[in-house]
Amino acid sequence: MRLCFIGNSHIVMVKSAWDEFAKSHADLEGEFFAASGSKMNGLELRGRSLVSDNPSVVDQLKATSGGRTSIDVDRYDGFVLVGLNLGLVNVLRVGQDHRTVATVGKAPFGHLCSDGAFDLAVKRQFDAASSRRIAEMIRSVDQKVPIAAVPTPHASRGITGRSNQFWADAELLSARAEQPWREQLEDFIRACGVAFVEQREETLDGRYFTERRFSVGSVRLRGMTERVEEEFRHMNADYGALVLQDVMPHFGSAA
Amino acid sequence: MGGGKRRRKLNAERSGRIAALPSAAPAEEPQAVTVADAAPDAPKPVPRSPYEGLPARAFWRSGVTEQHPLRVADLYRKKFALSPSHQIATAGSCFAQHIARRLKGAGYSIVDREPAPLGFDAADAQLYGYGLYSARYGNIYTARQLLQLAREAFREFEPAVPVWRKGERFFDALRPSVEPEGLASAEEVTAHRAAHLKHVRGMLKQADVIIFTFGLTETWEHRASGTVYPTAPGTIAGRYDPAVFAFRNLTHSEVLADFLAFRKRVREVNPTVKFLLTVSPVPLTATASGEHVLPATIYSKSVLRGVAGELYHRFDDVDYFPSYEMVAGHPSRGFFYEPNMRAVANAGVDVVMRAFFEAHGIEAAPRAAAEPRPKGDREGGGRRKGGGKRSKDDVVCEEMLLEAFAK
Repeated sequence: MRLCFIGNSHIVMVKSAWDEFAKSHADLEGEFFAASGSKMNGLELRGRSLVSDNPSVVDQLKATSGGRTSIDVDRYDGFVLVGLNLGLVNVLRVGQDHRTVATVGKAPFGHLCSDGAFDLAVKRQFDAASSRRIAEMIRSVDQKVPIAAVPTPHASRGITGRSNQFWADAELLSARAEQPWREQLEDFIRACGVAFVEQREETLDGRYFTERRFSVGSVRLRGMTERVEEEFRHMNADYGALVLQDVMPHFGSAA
Repeated sequence: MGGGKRRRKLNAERSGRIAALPSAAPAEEPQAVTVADAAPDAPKPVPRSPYEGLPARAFWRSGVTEQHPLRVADLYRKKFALSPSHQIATAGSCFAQHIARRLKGAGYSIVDREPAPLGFDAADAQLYGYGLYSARYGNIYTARQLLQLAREAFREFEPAVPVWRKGERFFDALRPSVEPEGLASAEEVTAHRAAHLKHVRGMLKQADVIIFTFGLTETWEHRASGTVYPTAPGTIAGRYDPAVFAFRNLTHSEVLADFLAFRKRVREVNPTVKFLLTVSPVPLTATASGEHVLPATIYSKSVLRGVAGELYHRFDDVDYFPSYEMVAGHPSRGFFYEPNMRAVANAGVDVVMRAFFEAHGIEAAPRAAAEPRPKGDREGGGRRKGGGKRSKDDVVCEEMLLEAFAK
């Protein structure tokens, strides 16, 4: 079975665990395509392939896949979308400048907004995720190929001490944003026939943070080699291994 | 000439022919006196008529009849220049939205003290009253409403009945259309209003130029306090109680006094601020005056135009841009209106803004493809029943509610 992993910087946690994982899964072949941040939004569907005219995206696709510059949908038996701004943590940015009366919190912000406006902003942020767009493109040419979506992990709690005071209210904002985010997630799952891979309970610190041990030594996409001790948003190979265990059953393969 | 003949001649002159007398009538053609006509030391020739030598724009034939209706030359001369570094604030009825949007498109700095939440598209923003004006106050139809807002922002005024209810939801009575579903409690409305007023205060202090479009003279007033509201109670929310609220049609002197008071108050905190006035060419959708809506509209617009003219002539810091004349004036033959003869077509806005940009030496910005049309103007437009998402061409106006109520 040949799987195609498409992601942004969070794909590194999966890639870091893949080689070890593949040793015990001889029937599996994995190919990886990634570009940082939201750059994968630059992918377009041409014929039955995902391509980009953005040289920076093309370069990153080439670097992460070992030379390929496009993703041929028919080449793969399944797709795993990793990160790609699909996470509760990705919609929290709404709260950087706009808060409802119930989420005023500690950090300074610019504007009060209504619950209706906040919910709508969360939904718009969700819809802007590359993950949704890529799944829709794949589905438009193949209604059957399995697609699993792995969300951006929650940050580890250390992030609350960062100079950006906004993170001090991350828990409050996550609790407020979760319902509209889940509503949109349900819509995404239904509309695109995607299997959503929840973050494991055992990786959580509280409800909205990831245990510190999973972010220590994580690697970001830039350079693919730099290990960052003080990284709070990207997870390491231990986390990636758990993700792979949870992803595989969706492709009929034992973890 | 006998007495009878003389009387008949005078009567004939008074009844119309007097216009033919050279001493009283402007020449039909500009009679320019050139320097070459006079010797260097010769005394300045005395024109035969005060109209002699006036430019083409002063004469109807050359200024209007002979002009292309889409491009009337020299119609507007700016009193002061707008530069991209100016902080321009906008308020008023729908036409100010057009001007703001086009100025923004041309690279001008339009103050936006209350930007939309992250991810909102233009239609989302419009639905929640973001990006329409420099703060989220919705349409300000009357000079009294404008003055009231400024005084409230400077903590010199507290509106009566500031929260309106509809079912279990609560609305800001002074801007009921900015929250389509209202808020959960009166306390929340109060909190939102306090935050909003902080931004209004900042806007009034920050602006180099305030563009205000006069929209209406008709308003709804709280009898005991004089608080005015942008919509009639009971239209979007609230309850109409004739013992509490009354219709008020403001007069020229009242509108003038209101704007003068507004100007004075803003200049106290922002002495160099300038004002650019326009009058909305959008007619009333409905009148509560008891008159037919057409004369009611003409009265309203005439008062507003008169006030704008007086302010323009009295103050160097007040300019007037004749968008009203361009759209509503009979030389345009109603061409710039939509078939309902009320909403202004985008083509009309294009022509108006081209004249504005030309006068200010700005290269006209193309209309944004996704430009939503003005929201919530009581003079024209509508609110979609059921609150569904609007298309880019929808006009969303409180006044359509008035039409719905008429059925």
